[in-house]
Amino acid sequence: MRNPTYQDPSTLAAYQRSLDRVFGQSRELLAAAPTWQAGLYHSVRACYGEMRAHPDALHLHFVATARDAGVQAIRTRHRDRLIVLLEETRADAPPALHAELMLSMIHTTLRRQIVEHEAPLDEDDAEQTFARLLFHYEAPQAA
Amino acid sequence: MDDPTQLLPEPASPDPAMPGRKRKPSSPHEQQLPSGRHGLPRDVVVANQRERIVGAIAETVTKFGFAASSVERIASRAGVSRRTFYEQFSGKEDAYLQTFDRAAGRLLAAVTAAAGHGDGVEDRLRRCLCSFLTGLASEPVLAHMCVVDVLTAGPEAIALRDRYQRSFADLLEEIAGDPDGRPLPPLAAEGLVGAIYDLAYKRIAQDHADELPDLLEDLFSFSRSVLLPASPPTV
Repeated sequence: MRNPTYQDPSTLAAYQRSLDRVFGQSRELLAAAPTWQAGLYHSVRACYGEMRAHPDALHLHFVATARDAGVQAIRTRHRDRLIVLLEETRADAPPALHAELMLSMIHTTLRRQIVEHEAPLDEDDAEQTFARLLFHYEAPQAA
Repeated sequence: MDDPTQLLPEPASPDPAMPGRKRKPSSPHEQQLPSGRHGLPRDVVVANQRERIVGAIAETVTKFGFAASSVERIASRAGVSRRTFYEQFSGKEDAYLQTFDRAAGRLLAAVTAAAGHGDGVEDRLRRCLCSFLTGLASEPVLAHMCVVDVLTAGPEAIALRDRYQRSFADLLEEIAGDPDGRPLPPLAAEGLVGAIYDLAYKRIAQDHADELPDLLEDLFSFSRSVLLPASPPTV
């Protein structure tokens, strides 16, 4: 990765561990849900809960990522493996690019709200945001 | 420059100093005017030097990163003295910001113009997205500087990027707000722009900017689902 800029490796390592826990939970959540949207809803909810419980990770995930190439790279890798997991787990998964855009859009919208409020959203407000985006989405239908 | 999306000089011969890039502009040095008495007006010489510096900063930042792109390195790449560099810019941050502003401004103008030529909401949206993807793909060095290296170019650069993202979101809101469109969910356009930025970042960081136009149909169908949810779905 060119230009990593975050200077604290222990914080980055803790952030990576948080993402690994989210990924581990997502394996079960995606498989158990009735639809891919419900599965992703539970996965994103687990992710936000993990971030809320670890403020440094939340700061990296939603604030520092917009200005730090190293954090952005970690977050991108996590998003990419989640998309692969979704494809492997769910027969009803949307096109991979749609899943990528959906996860990025949820992230951008939560990030914007967190930055605007200068504090993490409570879990109900965050849930309302990503639930609206996820269940508002209409997947393309085959001809 | 006839193409409004083009910032850097036309490509000439491949540049062996920058392996792996799909399309490269000619070295800013190659745009250098003949030395000695050439009889060209001062303003022509100054404009030429400025073009070379602008080209050089994009290439140097993309190749070495912002932190390692010293004024000496940029000036050398441009074929100008450091004194000439400082006659035109207050420092490398200033040169970077002006280059970014010019490139992003041209891309925004091109995307806005493309949307203006569309017929109806969906056609406008498709043309807008197509112009954005092809604009980045046609200038991979500049795209890298503006999309990837901006993260390391300091808070003013981040703020400038954020302003352009807001302008792109305003354009999408304007398109979706056409008389035959529907009211937009809150933060939909801004969220979509952030998602498109992430999409571009990933491909450009991996030197796959040339693949961006291939994503048009998927990006269009997703964007339509977000901005125009009442539209009948198609493949």
